[in-house]
Amino acid sequence: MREWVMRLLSVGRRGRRDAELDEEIRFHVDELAHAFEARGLAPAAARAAAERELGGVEHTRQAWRDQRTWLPLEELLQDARYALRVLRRSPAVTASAALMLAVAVAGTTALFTVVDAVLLAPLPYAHADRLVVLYEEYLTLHAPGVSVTPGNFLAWQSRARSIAAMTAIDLRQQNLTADGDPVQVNVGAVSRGFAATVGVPPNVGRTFADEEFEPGRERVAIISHALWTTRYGGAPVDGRTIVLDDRPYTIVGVMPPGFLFPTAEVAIWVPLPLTAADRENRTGHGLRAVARVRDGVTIAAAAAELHDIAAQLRREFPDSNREWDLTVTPAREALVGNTTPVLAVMIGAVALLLVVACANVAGLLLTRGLARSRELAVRAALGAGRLRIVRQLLTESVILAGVGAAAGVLLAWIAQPSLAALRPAGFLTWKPVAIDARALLFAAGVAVSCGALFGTLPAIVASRTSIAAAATARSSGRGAARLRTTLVAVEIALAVVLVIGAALLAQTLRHLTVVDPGFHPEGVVSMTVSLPATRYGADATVDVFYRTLLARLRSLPRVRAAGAVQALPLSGNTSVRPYSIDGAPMTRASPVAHYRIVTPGYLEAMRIPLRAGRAFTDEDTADHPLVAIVNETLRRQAWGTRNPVGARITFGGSTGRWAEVVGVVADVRHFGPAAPPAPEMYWPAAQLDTLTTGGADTLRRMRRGLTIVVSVTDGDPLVVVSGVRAAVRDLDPSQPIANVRTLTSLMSESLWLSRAAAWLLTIFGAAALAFALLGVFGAASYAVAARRRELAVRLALGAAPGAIARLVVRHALAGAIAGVAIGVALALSLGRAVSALLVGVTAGDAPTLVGVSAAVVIATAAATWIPARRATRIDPNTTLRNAD
Amino acid sequence: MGGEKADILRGTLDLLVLKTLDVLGPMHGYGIAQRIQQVSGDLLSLNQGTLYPALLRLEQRGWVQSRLGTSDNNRRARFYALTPAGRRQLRQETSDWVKVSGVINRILRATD
Repeated sequence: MREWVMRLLSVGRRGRRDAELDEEIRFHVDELAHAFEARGLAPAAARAAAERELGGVEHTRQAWRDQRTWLPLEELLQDARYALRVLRRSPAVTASAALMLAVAVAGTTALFTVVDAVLLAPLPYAHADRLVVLYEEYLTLHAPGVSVTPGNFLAWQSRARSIAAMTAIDLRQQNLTADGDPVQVNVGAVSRGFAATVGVPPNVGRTFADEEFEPGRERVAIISHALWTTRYGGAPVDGRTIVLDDRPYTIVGVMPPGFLFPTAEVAIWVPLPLTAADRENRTGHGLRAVARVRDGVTIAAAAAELHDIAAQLRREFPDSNREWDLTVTPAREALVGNTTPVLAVMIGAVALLLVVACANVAGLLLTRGLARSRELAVRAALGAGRLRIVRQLLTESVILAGVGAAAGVLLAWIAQPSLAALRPAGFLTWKPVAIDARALLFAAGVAVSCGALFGTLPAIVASRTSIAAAATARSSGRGAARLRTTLVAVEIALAVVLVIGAALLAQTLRHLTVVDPGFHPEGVVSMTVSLPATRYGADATVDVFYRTLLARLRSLPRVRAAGAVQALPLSGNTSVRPYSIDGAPMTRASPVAHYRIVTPGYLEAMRIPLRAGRAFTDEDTADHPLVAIVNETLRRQAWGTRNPVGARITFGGSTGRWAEVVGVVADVRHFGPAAPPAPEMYWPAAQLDTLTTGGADTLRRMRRGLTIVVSVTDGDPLVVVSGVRAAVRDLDPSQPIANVRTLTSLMSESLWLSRAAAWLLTIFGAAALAFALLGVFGAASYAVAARRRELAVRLALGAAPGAIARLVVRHALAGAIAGVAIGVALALSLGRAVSALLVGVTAGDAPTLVGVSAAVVIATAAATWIPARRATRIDPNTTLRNAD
Repeated sequence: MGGEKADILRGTLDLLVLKTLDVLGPMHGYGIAQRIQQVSGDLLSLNQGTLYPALLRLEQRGWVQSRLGTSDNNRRARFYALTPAGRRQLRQETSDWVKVSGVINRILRATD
C-alpha cells in the first residue's frame, strides 16, 4: 500500500534522487574496480569486471526506475508531454480542432443538463417508476385526459388488485390569510392513500393520520418546503394554524425540498374526505388520480386490470359510465411527456453535430499525421513498436479532445443563462438544470470517446506508413486525400440533415407566430381571484362582486375594457359538455362543445371579433331569458351554413332549459396556435344558477374562481395591476389576486417548446454546416497540395488556369453532391422523428429540401474558391525543379 | 564466477538486506553487497545491481530509510538504516523463514 503511494507520487518526477542514483552506482563500481585492481587486474579489465558484477550499469538504473514509479503511467505521462509539444507545434490545426470540439461538447453538455433534469433525475417519489397517473377517457369523442369522478375513483381503488395504493387529488386555488398578506395558493386535497402512493414522508412533522380523512376531521395541512422557507422563514410551524378560504387548518408537516405532487405549483396539501355520497357520484368529473402499482406487477398488467374494471363499471352503471374508459400513464410521462419528442430530436441533432466535429478533426489529424510520417518513421526505426506509435497518436487525440471539452464546458456554462431563457419560468424540474458533477463526468466521457473516435483512424493510417515509404515517398497523401474527401462527404450529409431539420422547425415557428389566435393579446393583462365558498356561497353575492369590481375597473384611467372568464385561452384549462339544438332531445350521441363562463366585457377586453348578433350585456341576468354565444366552429358543426342567431341551444342536464343564441364570435386558439380551434360556447356567468342541474357544484366553483382580463388603451397593461388590486381590496380586504400575466407573455410561452427547438436546431445546424465547409476547404487545400506536381505538369503542358481551377472545384463538388444526396435521403428517412414537432409544413417539404441542397452545394463551391485559386498560381518552374 | 554458486531465492534478498543492516548498522549499497557475499562465503551469486531496486522497495515500504553520508574513503555515499518498522519486519520474516526452512528440511530428510 505505502509502496504504491510512494511509487505513484514519484510518477513524472525526475528529481535529485535520480541524479544521486547515478552517483551511488558510480561509487559502487569504483569500489568494486578498486577491489579487482587490488587482486591484480589491469584498471580497464577491473572496471569491466566490476560492471559485470553489478549486472550492467544501464540495466541497474532501469530496474531502479521501474521500482521508483509505475511504468505504464510514467509512459503515459511521457506520451502526454510529447503530445502537448506536438500540439503546440501546429497551433492553427490544434486551435481549430479544439474550437470545433468545444462547440460540439458545449452543445452536448448543455443538452445533457436538460436531459438529466427532465428524463434521468429520479422523480421525487419512492420507486417512482411504479407510479401511474389515471384519467378518464370519453370514448365517443376520443377525449383522454378528462378528470375523474369520485365514484369511479373509489370503485377503482376498492377493486384493483394490482394497485398497492391510490390517491385522488382535488386541486384548489384558495386564499391563504391570517399570517401576513393574503395570497392565493394552490392546494392539493388528497384522499386516503396519499402517503402510501407517494412513499415520501414529510421532512418535518408527520403525514395525515387515517382518521383525518373522515369528514369534519380534515382541518390539518402539510406544506411545501418552498412555502415553509418563503412565508415562514423556516421557523418551526408544527401545530401552527393557517387559514385557507376562511377555514382554520393546523400544520402537521413540511414536505422535503423538491417534492411536488401532482404539480409543481401545489404548496399545501390537506386531506380530502370521500363520503358515501361521493361513492355514488359518477358524473362530477373533477379529481386527478395517481396510483402505485404493486411490486412484481408490470405497468401493462395493472393497466389491463384497470381497463377491465372500467368495462365492469360500463356494464354496472350504463347511465353514467357507458361512454367512459380510462387512461394509464407512467408518472414521468405525465409530468414531462410533452417535452420528450423535442428532447429526442435534440439529442439526435447534437449527436450528429458531435459526429461532424469528430469527422472534421479526424480529417485534420489525418493530413497532419501524413505530414509527420517522417517523424513517425524515425521513431519506428528507433524501435518504437507500432502499438506504441498508435498509442502516442491516440494520446494526442484524447488530449486534444480534453482541451476541446474543457473549453466546451466553459462555453456551455457561459451559454447557460441564454439556454435557461428558452424555458418558461414555470418549467417543471425537480432537479435544477445545471452543470454539476454528473454533467462534468458526462463531458469527460464525451471527450475521451471523441478522442478515441477521431484519433483511431488517422493513427492507424499513419502508423501503417512503412519506414521505407515514408523516407522516400512524397505523394503518399493520395490515399489520405481520398479518405478525407469521404469524411467531408459524411460531414456534409449530416450537416444537410441538421440544416433541413432547422429549416423545417423555423418554418413551423413562423407558421405558429402568424396564426391568428382569435384574440388580440396586446395590452391585455390577466389575473385570477378565488372567492371562498364560506362567504360567497350565494350566487347573488358572487354576481355582485364581479359586477361591482368590473364596473370599478372600467372606470380606472387607461382601461379600455374589463371582463372575466373561467378558462382563459392558453391557460390549459377547459370544460366540455354535450349540447343539443333547435328542440332536439338530448341523446347519448349528442355532440360536445367546450364552454366558457364569461362576464359582460370579456369578449371586448380580449377583442374577440363578433361575427354576427351581439355580445353579452349587464342585462343578461338570471331573471332575463337565457342567452348563449357560439364560435364559428360550433356554428359550422351545429348549423352548417345557416345563421344561428335566434336559434335555440341546450347544455344538457335534466331541466332541459333552452337558451337563445344571440351571437357568433371568431374561433379562438384556446390550446395555443398549434392546436386547431374546437367548438366553443359562451355562457353569461350571471345566468348559471338557472341552467345548472348536474354538476352544479362544479359550475359554482368555477364561477367563484374566474380569471379577470383587463385591456388598456395603450402601453404596458401591467401598470393597471395596482389599481385592480386596490379595487379588489376595497371590495373584500381579505381577497388577493394572483397569477398576474400579460396575454403577450402567455402567447410567447405557449410557443416556447417550438421556439426552443427551432433555435437549438438552428444553432446545431449552423455549427455543423460551418464545420463541414471548413472540412471542404481543408480537404480541397490538402488535395491541391498533394497534387501539386501533377497540376504543375498540366500547367507546364499548357492547361489554362481556369481549367485547373475547375478541376479542383469539380473534385470537391463531386464529394459534396454525394454528401448532399445522402443527407437528403437521410433527412427523408428520419422525417418521422421530427414530424411530431412540425406544424404547417411536412418533413418531406420539397422547397425546403431543394433550397437547402442548392444552398449547401453553392456554399461548397464557395469554400473551394481559395484552394482553386491557389492551384492556378502554382509555378511549374519551381515546383518541378524542387525534388521535394 | 563459477556455476556452482546458488542463486538467491526469490524474495529472500529483502530478508538478507534487512539482516545485514541489522548487524552492520547504517551502511551503503556497496558495503551491503560485500557483506552478503562475504558471509555467504562467496557461495551465493548476487547480481549486485539488483540490490538497488530492492533497497528502494524497502525504503518505499518504510522498512529502511536513507540519507547521504561520507564513506570510509571520504566519498559521498547513500547510507541505508533500519527503521523500527524494518526491525519488526525482520523479526517477522526471520521467524517465518525458520519455520518454512525447518519444514522443508524435514520433508527433504524424510524423503532422502
